[in-house]
Amino acid sequence: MSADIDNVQPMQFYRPDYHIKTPDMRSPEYVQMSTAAAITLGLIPGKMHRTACTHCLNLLVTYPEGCRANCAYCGLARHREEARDYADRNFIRVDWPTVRFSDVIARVQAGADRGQFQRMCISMITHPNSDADTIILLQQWMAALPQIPVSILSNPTTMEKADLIELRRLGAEIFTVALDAATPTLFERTRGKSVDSPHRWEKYWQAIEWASEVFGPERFGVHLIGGLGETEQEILSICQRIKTMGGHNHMFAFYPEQGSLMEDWPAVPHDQWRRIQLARFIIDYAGGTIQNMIFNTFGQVIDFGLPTARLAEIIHSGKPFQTSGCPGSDDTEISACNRPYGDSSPSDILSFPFTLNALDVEFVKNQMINKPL
Amino acid sequence: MAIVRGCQLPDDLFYHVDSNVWARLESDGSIIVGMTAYACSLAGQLVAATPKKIGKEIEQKQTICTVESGKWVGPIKAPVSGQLIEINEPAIDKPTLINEDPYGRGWVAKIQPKRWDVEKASLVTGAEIAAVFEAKMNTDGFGGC
Repeated sequence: MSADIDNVQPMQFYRPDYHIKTPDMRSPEYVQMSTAAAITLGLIPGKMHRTACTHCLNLLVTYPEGCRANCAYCGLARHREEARDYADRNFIRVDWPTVRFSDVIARVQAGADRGQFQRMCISMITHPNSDADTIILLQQWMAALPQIPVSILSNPTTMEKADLIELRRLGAEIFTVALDAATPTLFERTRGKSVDSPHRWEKYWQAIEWASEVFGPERFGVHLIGGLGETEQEILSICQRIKTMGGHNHMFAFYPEQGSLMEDWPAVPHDQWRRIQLARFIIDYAGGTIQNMIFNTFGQVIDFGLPTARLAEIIHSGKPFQTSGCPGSDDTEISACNRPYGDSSPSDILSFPFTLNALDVEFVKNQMINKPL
Repeated sequence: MAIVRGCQLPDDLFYHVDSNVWARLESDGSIIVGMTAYACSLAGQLVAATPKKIGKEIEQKQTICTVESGKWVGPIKAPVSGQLIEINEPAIDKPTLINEDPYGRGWVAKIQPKRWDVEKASLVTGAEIAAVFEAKMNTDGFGGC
């Protein structure tokens, strides 16, 4: 009997498996999808701690050659290519299954997400085809599911202003830039020449300025990682700068990614993280400014610049401690992109993917002042 | 062996269905406890397991071990009351063993039961297994292992 290769069906779904040869899959035919999105779509079984779903369909362009950058904290970094095929690499703590994009669209059209997805996000990587393939993916999505808005998590290193204009013209609603590091020095050490990676601080800021111009107020954002070695004052200075430009700040706690160059580094201290979460929310949504905040000699926030009662009200809402990111349709201050446990374990939650209850708020308040739990 | 939605459920074991754990009666009267393949599939690849201390007296449905995956943290509950007398250290050290071989090398704990003859009535075994787990999976909206 001989195999009839004409009858071989294209693979619809690949779940990372280190024990078999990774199939050859590349965008735009295929995309990778977060584990939370795959659970929400019913592609893989699973349950998530205190939450049933994610409200953002996070997709990642994929190529067997992988991302050509080498960011020190990232699970997708180029230095891992000898140890693990691209589609098998963990990223923000979990595996990212690979799916045919047409199947993703068909499943969402059929309601497999039970109406949960309020947003879709295409994450670009550093690859020669990433810009063009992102355009194709966006076009296909807008033709099929225009009611679910699209965010672009960009790769500024390969992009020009015309690319942003084209993405906006084709229907992308929000454009984000993963600056990640809050100072030029940290950026260079974690994403630049020091780690043989192509990214440049100036180029990233140029993209942020283009985004401000092309997408406009409330329609662009910046990703920042808290705990890479910056002070609270330094990261909040960036938050203020972005807010002043008209954008929003999407904060991630530094969590040492297994297999990354920084896998042995300590995670962000709880007290530091809680303070910058709170201050970021005050800057982005509560009318506060860094100019009204007071910092000690270590750059730590010691006064958030708001009346005590107003500050207590904000803390008790729990909103500052929820995952930050592109908004959904329910509440402009709450991210649709709740990334369940993308920056912490479910037993020690740093970004809450659900509404905090009174006990959670008390827990967070104690962490903020470093009170033993 | 019952196979329900792709999940293996050996029919010689006793199951506490709500807690999604199995029990196996040993010749010395103790019972071995572990997670079902279904529970493992829901949890995802385990990254940590923290057992209670050996010697602890535990009531039925109390936690004997807390396990954690990338997206979930939760308890493994005792199928019957008794004293925790042994922990499977290899599985605690390498929790993926629980996913890989839930009914074998991935067992979790050994309990000396104190009311086995009474409490075994609350467990499911043999021919009943498939229907009971099919109903549970249906209620849970579970697609399959």
